[in-house]
Amino acid sequence: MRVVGTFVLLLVTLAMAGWAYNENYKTRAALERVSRLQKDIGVQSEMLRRLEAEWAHLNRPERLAAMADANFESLGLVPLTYERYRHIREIPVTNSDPSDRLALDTAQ
Amino acid sequence: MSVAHDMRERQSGSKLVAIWRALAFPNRSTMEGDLRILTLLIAFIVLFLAVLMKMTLVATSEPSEPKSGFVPGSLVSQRANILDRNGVILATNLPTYAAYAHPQEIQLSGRVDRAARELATVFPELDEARLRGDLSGRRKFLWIKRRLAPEEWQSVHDIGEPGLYFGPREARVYPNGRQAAHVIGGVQFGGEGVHAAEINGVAGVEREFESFLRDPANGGQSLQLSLDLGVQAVTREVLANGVKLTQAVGGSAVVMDALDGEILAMVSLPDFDPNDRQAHEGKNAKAASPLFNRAVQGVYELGSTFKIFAAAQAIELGLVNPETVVSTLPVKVGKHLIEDHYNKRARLTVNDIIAKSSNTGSVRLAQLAGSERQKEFMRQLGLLDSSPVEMPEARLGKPQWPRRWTHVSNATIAYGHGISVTPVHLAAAYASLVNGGERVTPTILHRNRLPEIRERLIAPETSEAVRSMLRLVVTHGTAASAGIKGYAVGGKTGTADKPSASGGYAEDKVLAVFAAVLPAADPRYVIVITLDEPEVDDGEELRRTASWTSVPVTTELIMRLAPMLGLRPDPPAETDG
Repeated sequence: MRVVGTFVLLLVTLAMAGWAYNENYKTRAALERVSRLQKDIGVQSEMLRRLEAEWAHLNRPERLAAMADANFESLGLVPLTYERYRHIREIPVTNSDPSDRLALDTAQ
Repeated sequence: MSVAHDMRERQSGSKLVAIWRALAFPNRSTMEGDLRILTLLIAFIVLFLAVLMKMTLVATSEPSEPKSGFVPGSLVSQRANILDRNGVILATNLPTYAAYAHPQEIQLSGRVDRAARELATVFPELDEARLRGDLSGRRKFLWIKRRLAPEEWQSVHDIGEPGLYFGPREARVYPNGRQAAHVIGGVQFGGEGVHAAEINGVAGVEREFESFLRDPANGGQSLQLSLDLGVQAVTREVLANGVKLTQAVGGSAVVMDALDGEILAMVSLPDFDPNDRQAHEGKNAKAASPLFNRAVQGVYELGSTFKIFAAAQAIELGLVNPETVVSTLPVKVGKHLIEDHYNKRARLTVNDIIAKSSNTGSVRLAQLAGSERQKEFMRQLGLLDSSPVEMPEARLGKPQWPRRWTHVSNATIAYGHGISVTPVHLAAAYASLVNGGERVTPTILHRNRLPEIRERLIAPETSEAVRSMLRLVVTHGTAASAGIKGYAVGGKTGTADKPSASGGYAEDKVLAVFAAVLPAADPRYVIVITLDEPEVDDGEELRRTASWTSVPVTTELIMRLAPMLGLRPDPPAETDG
């Protein structure tokens, strides 16, 4: 009985050792992967910063205004001024049904 | 020990248990006790050995960083970004390279002439002969250029000379160029090594928030300013047009939130490109330099814009009300006779003193309050101390006022002479007067909330009276050209003679100011525009007053800004029932 018990314990110990060995290498592989990923994150975030800077540069107000001017014929963009704001009351109602107008007025 | 020694000699080869028994507890005899002691002893020895091994291991192994932690520090860039209130990038970093050479390696390859010639082609600003001298000399190290553009880097690479090296650099870039140049300031390289260089802020928020921007503990958090890039761009464009049309030598504009003092736009012209700040360093006299920030650093006598302070104080103290009639006959103060230039009437109501910009009326209002109380009011409005805007230049813009606040000062300060403040001071003081009467602290940072407790300067009713007086200036007074259909603009003009270099005031040089509040009934924004030495030829004569110069510029600005700021025009009166 004792021999069997010892044998079982020995087997369990061996199994545990094998498991620990395996885990050790898995951990190393994971760490390697982490460091690779972090390098990747570094490269990507560097890229992101570059793109953000480029985006800001390309969207600078001066450039947009110049481009709107240059493409005026096709786009017809002009600076937004207060005249472009209109009160809803000023919209000409073509199908002038009095009940519609009432609805508009109360909806404001 | 001698007992143990003797016994071991005598009983050599006997049981280990017996030795231990004799050694530790000569008087104990039971087997059970012996075994327990023995086990404990062995356990302790094993433990101590384990500790010893670990200590040896720690002492002899090379230290290494734990690899499993998240985001290593190297990912966070050297210097934090600067953003506007909507998150648009105003300043960021880009990786670049510095080029340097090891002349001796080039000499070994025997291609010094070729290297010098090629380098001079890539960098036209370098002198080929001098470069050849440097490369063939005894030096071991030579900087070629501190900051390379990507295409320059490629070109130097293409030379293919082994003696040319690159060191990584982080370059500070401002994608929007001249927009907000004065607010941002600029940077320059500080201490420099081959593999890295320190970047130091030299002006503006780059300098003011140096420690925040450089602190790695922020984890890449950005600095968010109160500026709105769109508003800033429009303000700059309109002001630049105004400066051009009026042939002014310069100008400034401040757009401020009247409730929390956040500055949405701050422009000073002429300006500069912060990407190439050095080009302007030490070029002009200080106040004419493009680097000079007129909005926070330039102190000027702001003329009639100060009259509203005299009126507001007199009303607040209960000395007058807006309808009180005050004499506007010439008034003698000390040796000086103060007169009105345009007003021909002998008396005006307080409302009309502001609307018609009467000097004599304002002087009488200030005299009612007296020197002491006037000075105290100016101090409360923040007009006697450097403005608290978070920029190093703001501390340089120290207001100038008489140390002895005499009755003459009392009179001249009533119409804005004898005291010099910056445009930002004026904007903050106007904001405090019109927002209901609570003190506003100007700031360049985006805070998103009001400060909890704010000092009350004037009663809400006085603030109300101030607002309607400012509105009268536009509807019936000196700023009539600021009327815009659908928007109730209020404001006050000011045209101050500029001090001449020889003392006294220059004959034909003025500073034209317009301080506008918008909308007048419940102001959300304060706009202050100054034009330095403007002149407009209307066909009859040269006009210099604010009504002809800074008021039209402000009007144009409001037309453009109002929709951007989300201000809707008032609905038109219903005509069709």
